Amino acid sequence: MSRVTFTHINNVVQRNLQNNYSKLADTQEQLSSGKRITRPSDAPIDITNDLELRSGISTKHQYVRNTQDAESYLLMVDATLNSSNNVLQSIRERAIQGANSTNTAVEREYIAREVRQLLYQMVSVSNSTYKGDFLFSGTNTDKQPYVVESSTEEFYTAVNDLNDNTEQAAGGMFPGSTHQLFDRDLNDGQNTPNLLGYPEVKGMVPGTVTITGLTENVDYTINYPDGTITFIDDPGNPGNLTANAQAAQASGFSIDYEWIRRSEHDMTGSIMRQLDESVTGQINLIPDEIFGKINETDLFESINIMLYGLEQNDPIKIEESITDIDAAFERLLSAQATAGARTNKITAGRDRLADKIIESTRIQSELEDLDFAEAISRFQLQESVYQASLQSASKVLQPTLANYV
Amino acid sequence: MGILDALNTGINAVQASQLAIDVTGQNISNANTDGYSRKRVSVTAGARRDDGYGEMGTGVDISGVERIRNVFIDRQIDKQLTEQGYYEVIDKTLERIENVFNEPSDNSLTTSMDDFWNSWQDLVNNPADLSARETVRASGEVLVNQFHTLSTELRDFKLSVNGDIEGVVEQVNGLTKELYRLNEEITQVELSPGSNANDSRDRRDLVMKELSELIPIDYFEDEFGKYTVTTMGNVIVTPSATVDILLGRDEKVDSLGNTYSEVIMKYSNNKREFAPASGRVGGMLESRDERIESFIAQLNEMASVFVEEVNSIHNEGYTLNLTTGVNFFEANNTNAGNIAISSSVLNSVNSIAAALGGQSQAGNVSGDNVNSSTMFPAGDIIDLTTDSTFVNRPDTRIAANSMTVVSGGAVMTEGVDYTVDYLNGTVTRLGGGAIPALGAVSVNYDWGVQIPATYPATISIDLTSFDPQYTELDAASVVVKDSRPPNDVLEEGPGGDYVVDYDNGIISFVNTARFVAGDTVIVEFNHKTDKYRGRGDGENALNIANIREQLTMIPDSLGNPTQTIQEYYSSFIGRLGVERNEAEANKETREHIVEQLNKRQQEISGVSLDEEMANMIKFEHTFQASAKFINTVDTLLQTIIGLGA
Repeated sequence: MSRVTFTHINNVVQRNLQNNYSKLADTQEQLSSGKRITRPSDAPIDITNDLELRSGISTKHQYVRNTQDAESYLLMVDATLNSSNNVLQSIRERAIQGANSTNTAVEREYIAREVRQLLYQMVSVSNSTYKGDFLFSGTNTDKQPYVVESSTEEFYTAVNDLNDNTEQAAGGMFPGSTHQLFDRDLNDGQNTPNLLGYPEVKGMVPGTVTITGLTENVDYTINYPDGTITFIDDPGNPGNLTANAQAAQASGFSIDYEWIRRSEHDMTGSIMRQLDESVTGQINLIPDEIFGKINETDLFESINIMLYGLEQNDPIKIEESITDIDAAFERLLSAQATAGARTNKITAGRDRLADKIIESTRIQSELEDLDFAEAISRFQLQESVYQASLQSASKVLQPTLANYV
Repeated sequence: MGILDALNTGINAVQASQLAIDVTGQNISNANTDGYSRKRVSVTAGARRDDGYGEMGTGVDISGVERIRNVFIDRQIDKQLTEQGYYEVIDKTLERIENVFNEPSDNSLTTSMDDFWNSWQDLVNNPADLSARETVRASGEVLVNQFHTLSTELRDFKLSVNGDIEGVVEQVNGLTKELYRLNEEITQVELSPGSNANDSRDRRDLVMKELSELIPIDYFEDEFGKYTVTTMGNVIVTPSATVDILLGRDEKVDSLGNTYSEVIMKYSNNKREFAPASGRVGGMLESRDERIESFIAQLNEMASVFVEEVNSIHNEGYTLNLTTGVNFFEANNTNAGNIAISSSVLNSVNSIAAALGGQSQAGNVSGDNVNSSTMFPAGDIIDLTTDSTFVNRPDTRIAANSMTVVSGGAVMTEGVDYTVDYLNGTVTRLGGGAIPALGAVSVNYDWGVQIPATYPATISIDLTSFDPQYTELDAASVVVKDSRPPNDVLEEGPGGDYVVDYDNGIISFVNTARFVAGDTVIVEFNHKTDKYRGRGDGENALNIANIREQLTMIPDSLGNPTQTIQEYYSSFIGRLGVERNEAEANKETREHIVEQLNKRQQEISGVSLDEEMANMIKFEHTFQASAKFINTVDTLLQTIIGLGA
């Protein structure tokens, strides 16, 4: 039998009380923080997973933000394409109306005015923005994709004008003479000998040429697709320019006109959003897909061709232009389909992402969070153990032989 | 035996009982004294030889007071205390490192890193937006500050350990002095035969325990009862002296280049370094030199990967100012303590490169070619323009003096064995010459751009005429060499030989005296393969955000990284937890062992009050009985004395 001493019992009691109390304190800390892991040493293996999960959840929340942004971007794209579709639909209706041979020239002129407005509306729609960035200019989001340009062409009187790129009214103007219009400022201030030689020029807008004092189709005609002006032989005075044209020739004059310009910047850049881990998706559509490539007859050019038919009061031309308009329609519809497909991909991804976040959060909670039921019953158990140890201690420590001697 | 002898026997018994009661009193008084061992009076039965009856008792002999203690248990406790002290310190160190990293929480490095990567994703969503750019910079600053805070706290902690070491070493020196004093005391007391220096021994055992907790020690006792104490093979207490541990400071330079002083310890006798591997001091040394240091190093590793990876992508991208080659982090600050946002980004968020830039690629309009062909009789022609790297144009040319033609190991002679059409790139075999050279020949030659015939009137080379991609040349990357051996490198700049229009890929010669028409130059440069794609391009930002998912750390045996930054960090926090758990478990084990040993020692040497009470009653009774015995002998004596009266 080993000797048991008062000091020993005292030590044991003290240590056990301390142990029980510190366990109680640990459980109390867990209960008040609601966390099972409050420091790495609480669960070294779990902490590694826990940190990974935390980081993963934070990343996934970011992907959700990206997705939401992508969705609202595509919503904007979709709305814009819808407006384009509506505008083009109206234009097509006008074209069919205009192609009807019962129309008079005046009626076609009215239709032409309407179509011109629709054309400008179409340009304005193509310049829609999302948070200040142009939707359809690729990654050059600060560059307007399509612009209605107003240009002025000067006809000088002097034969040897210093600017040798200008036409010379005095020498070259006579009935039937044809002059190429050009723009002096297209592309970085370089003179442009032939406006229409540049692929970004999407046609002069028929009906927009004005010369002060002269009247189109009276004093001159314009070939809009070619960009040329031809002066008319005065029917009352054959072999001569009209009186107004002669006056203009004498004083010098300028020709104002409008044309559609496609941005010369690269608009093919794709705008990407990270939608999930190693999943990126393009959210923008480029002008090539919606309006046509730079080298082909695009939507704007088709409208210009149709407008020219209307201006010329030529139902056959109008009829022909409908083919181009229909091609533009096809393109627009396919762009809408593409936008729809992208939206679907993103929406599907968002739902998957939400599931992943729920799953990750659940795992993290299992790792990190306290099982309250377990913790509370543990707490109660520890508390009763502590109470018991206090009571037994008071009994054990009290008596010595001295009490009885 | 005389009756007076019986009286002596009685007196001895009374004395023995009294001493026993004294000792019992001493035991009871010291029941709670640390290190006290219970004492016991040892007695033997006195005997003498009697002629009539053989051996006869003469009562009790007090042979001494001895302490009841098992010194072997003490030795075991001492060893365990050394380990316990070591693990206690390591545990405290790791606990504090845990506090520094503060994981898992919402204010930790993990959070800062996540916020940083997320801010890049937000920039992808709005590449030209200033507030998105501000957020990237701000989250970068938070990350940088987080690194700084962690690094500073760890380094400060490391420095503070030095102070702890100094304090503990002074304690060690105090304890060795006290051991020396106790050695002296014990020897003096025990000089008189039969006397034990019980309380001094108890005290010395206690001091040994205190010392064991601090440093690992070994000791032995000599014949005079003196302890000789050694640590790590070095004597620190001898019967005649003590050896102090001297404290000094050593100047050190940390990874930031800052100097700081570190405690060094030496034995005062042989001046060798004192570096215990266990005990509290051992734990402190290990904390300072290994544990804390390893976390500083890992943090630095992360910071440097951050700087390197982010910068290498950021450098490629276009800023809003349409520049490339801009750093996001200061390139030279690759330490967790000094990692910083680059001054260009600090000055303007426009310098954040969100748009994809071109990859830099080497280009040249020259070549150092080898053509292997066969050449048969005179008139045979080798057409060098079929060489894949030879660009045959009116303005390219084979460099003068650059050609060697070798056939079967023999070098052929130009003009004798062959002729060269430098402009059109052909070699024609001549009939004459000593070398038969029918068969395999190798033609080694350089080609380059010809200085135009109109030189010096026309003095430029348009690189884009070779490849439209040769615009946007990397700054200062153009090298023009004279094609004639030894290929002198020409001097760039308005005062030199040529100037370069880097944006349009045009090289213009300004030194009109440098060449004659028909000379050839070698042109080498780096150019970008891609063009700027506009303000709305966020792909470079996306690439930076994706560093998060990339394996960038801990290369395997083939040099391929195996972990992402976050994985690296998570696993080192995990390791921190494991180390702490290990230290804690070890500490608790030692504590438990020490407790068990203490219990055994207590069983042997502890004062039991009950036992002492019982003893007291027992000795009281023997005292009373002895007194009664003396009384009885007295009565006998009186009777004898009365006989004669």
